[in-house]
Amino acid sequence: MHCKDVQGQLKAFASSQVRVDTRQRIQAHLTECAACRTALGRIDPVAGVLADVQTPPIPPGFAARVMTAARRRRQAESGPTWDLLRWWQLTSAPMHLAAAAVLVIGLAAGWMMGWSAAPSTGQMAPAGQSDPLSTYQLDVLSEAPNGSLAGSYLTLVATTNEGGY
Amino acid sequence: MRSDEDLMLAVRDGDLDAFGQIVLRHQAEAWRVAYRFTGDAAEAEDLAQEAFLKVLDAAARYEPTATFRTFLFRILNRLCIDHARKKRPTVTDSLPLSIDNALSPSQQAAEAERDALIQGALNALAPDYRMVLVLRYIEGLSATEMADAMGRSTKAVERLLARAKTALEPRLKGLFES
Repeated sequence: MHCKDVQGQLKAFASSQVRVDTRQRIQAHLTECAACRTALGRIDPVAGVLADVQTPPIPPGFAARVMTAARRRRQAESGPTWDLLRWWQLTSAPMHLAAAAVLVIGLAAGWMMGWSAAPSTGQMAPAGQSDPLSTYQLDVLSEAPNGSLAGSYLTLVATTNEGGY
Repeated sequence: MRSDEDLMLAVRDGDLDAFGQIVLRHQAEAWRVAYRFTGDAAEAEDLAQEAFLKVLDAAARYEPTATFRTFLFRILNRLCIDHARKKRPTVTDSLPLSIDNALSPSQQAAEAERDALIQGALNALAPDYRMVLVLRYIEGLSATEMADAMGRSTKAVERLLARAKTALEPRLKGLFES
């Protein structure tokens, strides 16, 4: 910008009544032109002194640090997440083996518990001759009166169809 | 190019990349305000970073009723004033200005001394005087924009600016005469 253009706008500049882009161009001119700074100082002494004050450059990596903090904050808000694939990629082979062993042991223990909980006779009572009290170890219901819920249940369990169920 | 307001609406919807663009666009002015307010590089970086994180926190409630720039300065104003109220006097860590290779070493030294004098004069003022001067003379905000950023009426901000200038002028007298 030429001095003539700048000096015609200094009063508006001093009272911040210029557009942002115009302000930036005038500011750039003022850092180079002592005459225009002096002219501005006559309008507003403080503006004249502060017109060419230079701020040190922003520290390098500032934006990256802000984004790191922002991602951490977002993650904290959404709660802990665990990425299985990422865990697999980051851990070593011994850890993979240990995880597989824990899985196999867990499944085996579950199967063993299920097998040992199965009925000890291994066979269904012959049709029409089932004794639910002994077959299914329902001794606790032996005193159940007829017509009661427990008694009805015993009757239901004792009844078999041709399929043995 | 998307406007700041459009980017903020995207941030409101969870778009962190849009937030990254906001940071890149406005990091310089956030830094300038924080640095000129505190006169200390480390404090300025903390305040500027915290201002952007507060922008992110507030994104869920963001409505484009004012420019983003004013929204950012409103947050910065609160952070800086709160910081000044809590702060104990310490030695500040100012950064060297950018080296202007067109100047001789003695000219560069004179510039650094001038800058130190200006910053010292600002640091001696009350926090709200300092902030209104930074917003007007460093960032070029209008009275309406300053009022919005500082949470005051336009008339109140104009009176505050007048008092701030009256407090600053004796401290810069040597520079006026030169």
